[in-house]
Amino acid sequence: MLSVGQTPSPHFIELGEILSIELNKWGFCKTQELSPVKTSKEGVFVCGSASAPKDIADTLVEASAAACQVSELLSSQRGQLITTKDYPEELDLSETEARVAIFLCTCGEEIASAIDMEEMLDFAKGLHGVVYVEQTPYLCQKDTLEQVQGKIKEHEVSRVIFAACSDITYEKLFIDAIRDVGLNPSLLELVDFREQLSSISPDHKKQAMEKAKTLITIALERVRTQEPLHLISQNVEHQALVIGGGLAGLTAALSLAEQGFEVQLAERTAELGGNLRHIFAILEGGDPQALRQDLIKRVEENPHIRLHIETEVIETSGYAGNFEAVLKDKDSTLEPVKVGAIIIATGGEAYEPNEYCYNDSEKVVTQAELEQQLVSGKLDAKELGCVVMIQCVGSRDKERQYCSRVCCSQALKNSLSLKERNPEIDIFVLHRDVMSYGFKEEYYSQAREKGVLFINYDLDRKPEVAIEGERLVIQTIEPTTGGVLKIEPDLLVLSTGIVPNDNNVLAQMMDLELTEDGFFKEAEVKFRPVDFVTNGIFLCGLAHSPRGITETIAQAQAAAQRAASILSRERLESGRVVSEVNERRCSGCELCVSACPYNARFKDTDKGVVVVIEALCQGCGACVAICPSGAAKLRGFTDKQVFSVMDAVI
Amino acid sequence: MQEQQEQQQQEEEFEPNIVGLLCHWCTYTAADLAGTTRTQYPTNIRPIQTMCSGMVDPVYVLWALLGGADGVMIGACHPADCHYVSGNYKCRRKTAVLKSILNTLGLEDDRVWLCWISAAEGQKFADTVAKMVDELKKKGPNPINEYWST
Repeated sequence: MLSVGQTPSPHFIELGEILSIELNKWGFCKTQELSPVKTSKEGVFVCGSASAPKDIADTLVEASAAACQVSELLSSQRGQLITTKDYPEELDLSETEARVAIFLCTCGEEIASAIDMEEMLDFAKGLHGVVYVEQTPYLCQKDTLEQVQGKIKEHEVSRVIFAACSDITYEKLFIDAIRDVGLNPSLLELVDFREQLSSISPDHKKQAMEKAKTLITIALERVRTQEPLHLISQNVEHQALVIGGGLAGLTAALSLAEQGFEVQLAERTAELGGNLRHIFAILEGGDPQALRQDLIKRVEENPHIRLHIETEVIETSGYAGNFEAVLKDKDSTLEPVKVGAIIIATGGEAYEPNEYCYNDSEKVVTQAELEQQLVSGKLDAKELGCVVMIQCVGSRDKERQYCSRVCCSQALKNSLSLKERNPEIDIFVLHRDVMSYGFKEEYYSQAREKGVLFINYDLDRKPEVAIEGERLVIQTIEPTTGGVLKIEPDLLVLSTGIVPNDNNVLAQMMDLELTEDGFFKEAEVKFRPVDFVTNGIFLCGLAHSPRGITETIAQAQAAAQRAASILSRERLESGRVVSEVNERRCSGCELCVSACPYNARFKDTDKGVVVVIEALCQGCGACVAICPSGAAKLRGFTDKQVFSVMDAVI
Repeated sequence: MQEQQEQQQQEEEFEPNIVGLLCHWCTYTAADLAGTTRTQYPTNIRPIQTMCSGMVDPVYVLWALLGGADGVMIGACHPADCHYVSGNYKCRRKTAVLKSILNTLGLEDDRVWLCWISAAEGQKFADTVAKMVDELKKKGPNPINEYWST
């Protein structure tokens, strides 16, 4: 099995020329420093594997980030091209008995060749409640649909069955057609004669006919018992709450504010910038401190952002579009805010080591400390003869099994920086694997060319560090010879990983899931990388996982864009299929409350029955199956409907 | 002799009636895909759409079996892929419990199939239906039909 890599598309050179954007030396799109989705040309953005080899989650994150940047530019024009279609008011059908019309599409010869249409017509006409049956050539054509609409009106039809093709493909078109004649979309039932019948068994006419009849009966049973279902729509607060004022939080808040949305930004500590405060250089170039100052200045000056320093979020309630949060500042003053979306950017922390004599000698430092001491001048690289770095300190072990993603780059960055300041210096990097993914591999090669020695160690035979008087003594096994290598460096640098904050309080308060390692868990690892299962809450930065600066920026922009997709709407509409409670039957046992994956149910303690928050209900029906009293009911999929459909089948 | 032949013929012609309780997000879409790709499979399944396998009340399955269905297929998303977070696990648990009592009730637990078929697995859907039809043909009709008719 060959694990093949990703290469830039050969056609991309051409596209680059047309758009006059620069490519990098490998033929991928060049991006601006610290701007993962900006190309060399203003107003042209890039996402996905066009700019570097990427996986699905990162690609989706970048796609949202690029959309976010475009939205920032176009925010003044938002919504201008939207046209809404007006439908006639829905007919009041409450008093009338169901009058069903069945339209049988022959799909040219496709369906007509698989079943006997004449027999089908006769069968359909004889069914209870059916007032009109017609055979049509192509239901998906506009003029056919217009004729159908005429017949629906003429025969005062209140329920419609279209027996045609893939309901998944054509549902929208057909629903549109019946809404035009004043019927509620739930009063249309689609039967798939093509995908379920003619395509699968063209040679078994008898069995196909039988199945066709059953499919029609199923649809008839469903549609006859169907009540009109209505969309539940509510107002949206056009304001977001961003929790955390580090790189992720600042970026997300700014992205939203640039789009014209109001933002409440809450930072727990007294200072903005988070972990970015301790980063002074980036492997690929760029000045993180300039970035930090610029971000803070822009946030402070932006009229759309209200900054809450030394403030924590102590309570949240509500749902997408209508959250309420209570902020508590350092004087314990409480301030409630109403927001439509929440972004969690609470960050992570550097692992505090206690191994490798870290606490016993000033000669043992972390990568961040080394970086800081080099910048402040406390440490002079020219005075160092030998430096040892140990990788994976606090990462990829039993306690924390994940890779912290940034420490290998940090080691490369600081090795190169030391070599630049003092080319004579000996550097040994003791590692388990060097994770120099993507273009970082180039810096790994550079470091090796400049004489940095990379020596592999095993998890069960970690390097040993001892202090002998003034000297640091490090022993590790040299894997090619199997012998023990003894090094006495002037400085030992530990590449410590990233650990999550204590996220439990926030997670419990907002009912969000954490990973085994204690980071916040996204709704779906590949396809919903910045969403939570709870709609309206989004996630970015180290609160989600260890990641570098550019990756954090992309993720923060993605989260902002996801939030904007809610904030930009006038009203939020939830699905027609939601569950409800028959209060007479409900015994208040709350089994459904625990079965609901969306917290859409709670117990009204005064009444002693469970209540559904329709805006949160996604219509999965878990409550229906668990309710011992038959009190939970899913609109459009009631027990009564299921049973009558089944009776029609068997 | 003639009687025997007739009986044999009847047995050959037995077409099991399968109730398919298919999750809208995976198996039902897989059935659609099987159709659009023109994958051939028997017509015996009667697809009934559900929002999620998690809404399949065991009573639905009992209702189908008592009503004379020769088989019940519950189509669910693969473990960890549920559109509604955990509905397929809920279904798995309920089905396991249900199966443990079916035989006691005089019903046959191997007439109930819980299948993980994703929206992309049109072929797997077709194969599963074909296999189920095959197995049910070997088993013969649901004996409850005979019971009701006497």
